[in-house]
Amino acid sequence: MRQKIREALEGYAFSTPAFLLLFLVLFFPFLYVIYISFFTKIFGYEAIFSGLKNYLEIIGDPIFRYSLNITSVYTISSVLLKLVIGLGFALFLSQEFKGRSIVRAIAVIPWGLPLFVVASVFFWFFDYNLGLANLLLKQILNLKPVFWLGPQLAVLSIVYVNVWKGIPFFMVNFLGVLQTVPRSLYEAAEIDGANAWQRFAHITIPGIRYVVLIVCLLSTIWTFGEFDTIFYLTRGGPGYITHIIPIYIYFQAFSRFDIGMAAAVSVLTVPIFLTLISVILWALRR
Amino acid sequence: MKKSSSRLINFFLIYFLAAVVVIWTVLPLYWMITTAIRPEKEIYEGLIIPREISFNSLLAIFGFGEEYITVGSTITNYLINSVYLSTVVMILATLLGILGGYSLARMRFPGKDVLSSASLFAYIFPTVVVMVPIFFIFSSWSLVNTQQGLVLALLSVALPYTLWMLRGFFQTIPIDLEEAAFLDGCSRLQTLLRVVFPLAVPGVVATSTYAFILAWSNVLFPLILVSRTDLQVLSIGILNYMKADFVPWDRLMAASLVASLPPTLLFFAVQKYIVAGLTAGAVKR
Repeated sequence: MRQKIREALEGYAFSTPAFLLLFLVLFFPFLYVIYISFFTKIFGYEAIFSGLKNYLEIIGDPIFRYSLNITSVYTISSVLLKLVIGLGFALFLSQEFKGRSIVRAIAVIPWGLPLFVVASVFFWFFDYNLGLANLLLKQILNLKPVFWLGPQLAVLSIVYVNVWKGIPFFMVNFLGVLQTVPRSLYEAAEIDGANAWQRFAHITIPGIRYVVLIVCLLSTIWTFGEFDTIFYLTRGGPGYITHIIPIYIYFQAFSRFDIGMAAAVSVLTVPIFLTLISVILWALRR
Repeated sequence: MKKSSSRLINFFLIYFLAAVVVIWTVLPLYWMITTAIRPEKEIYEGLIIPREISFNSLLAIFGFGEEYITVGSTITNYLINSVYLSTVVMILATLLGILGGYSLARMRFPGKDVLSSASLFAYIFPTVVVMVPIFFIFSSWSLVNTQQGLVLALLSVALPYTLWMLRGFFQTIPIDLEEAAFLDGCSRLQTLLRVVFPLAVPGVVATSTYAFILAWSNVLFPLILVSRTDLQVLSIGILNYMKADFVPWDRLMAASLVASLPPTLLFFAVQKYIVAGLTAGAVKR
């Protein structure tokens, strides 16, 4: 008994510093954002309790509804593309050929790059007059230059940037799990006359599906909550075209100084994240 | 005959695909590097392949070369701040992460499972959710525009990561060794320092390296918590170049190259330990 109490006390002694800090910088702010979302609070003014007013105002705001829409479009298309291309890269790079390790090393580079560097590089890459994207269109393909970050293409361009940066995370995780699928299964299937597609559908997919699920869900959460690239590339524009939820929160708080509204939007995203995380936890336990 | 021609097709297919993968990845990086190392004048000529090489832009961002010096356009100070802050965040996140992660991996106490899940949740949860309250709370604690404030805020990103990863690394170390140490009369802390830690060094180094990268790459907290130029970090220094009416492309790319080198090189050094990371539990099956 004394042994047990001693061990518990040691456990608390070891874990308290870390979790006290996390409480201060994460859990307390998290509780606070819920609390303040029920107040009308403009930065620099007294907070006035207003119940659900912020929430009703947001739900009635066409920009918020557009923002939610475009965030979903952006997130879902980015994740699906990363899944397809990442899986493609992984299947290709699990073949053996000379120079494979160099190709793998190159393909992983975007993972380590900071998002702000990626954003600044693509800002220049997409420049109308002098960026490489338009130079290639003009000089190699003989086409007219386009406004990559303009109203028609901005969403497509930010999806491209997100996919470029995010592929290594998918690819590397897929490469890892592809190794765990036993070779003997493929050999047996080949003897039984299964073609490449059948082997992929009946051996590869079942072998990797939980990792695929976890990777996709994590990426969904991080893409949905990612602020940096779009803030650097378009600041949510032109107009409101790339005004994803994190950008919407930022401008409510730091440009309109409407803390209450910004808090309410933050709170509204929580159920989305919680649902996705619960599925991840479920898949991790499988 | 037939077999060798199909082998030839296979050969070309493989190297064609390899070229696709490489070009897809390298294209934007090629553009960054070639812009950073070409003469400023040449940028406005619209050349895909640089004609000349010049390190003037790379020197200019550090204030060398007279014609370039304008107030606030060098990144030296931003770079120093980034290195300093990321190092402090890395050290704190590692120390707290070792203690916390070890207790979550090995010790028995009520509430442990809740704390374990909490660290995973904190790691996965996007920081935008707490962006507004952190700014608000930190301003009432007078932590806005201070290095302490920025370190605290960055720990909210780095610490959940180190906790969760180190918990995982400690779990992989055979428990028999610790039990032997206990029998020899070692205390918990002695066991951790003398038996567990040496075995976990690769994992600890990898985790703290990635914590450094996380702090280095962060944009949100320096953006909302710091407005003083002398405290500002590289991510915002680069944003300032981009916000200029007349963007100095050569210097923007030179600064981006400098900002990308430490995290990229560090990432390559520790990549194999990080990659297992979150999906490790699922991959093992």
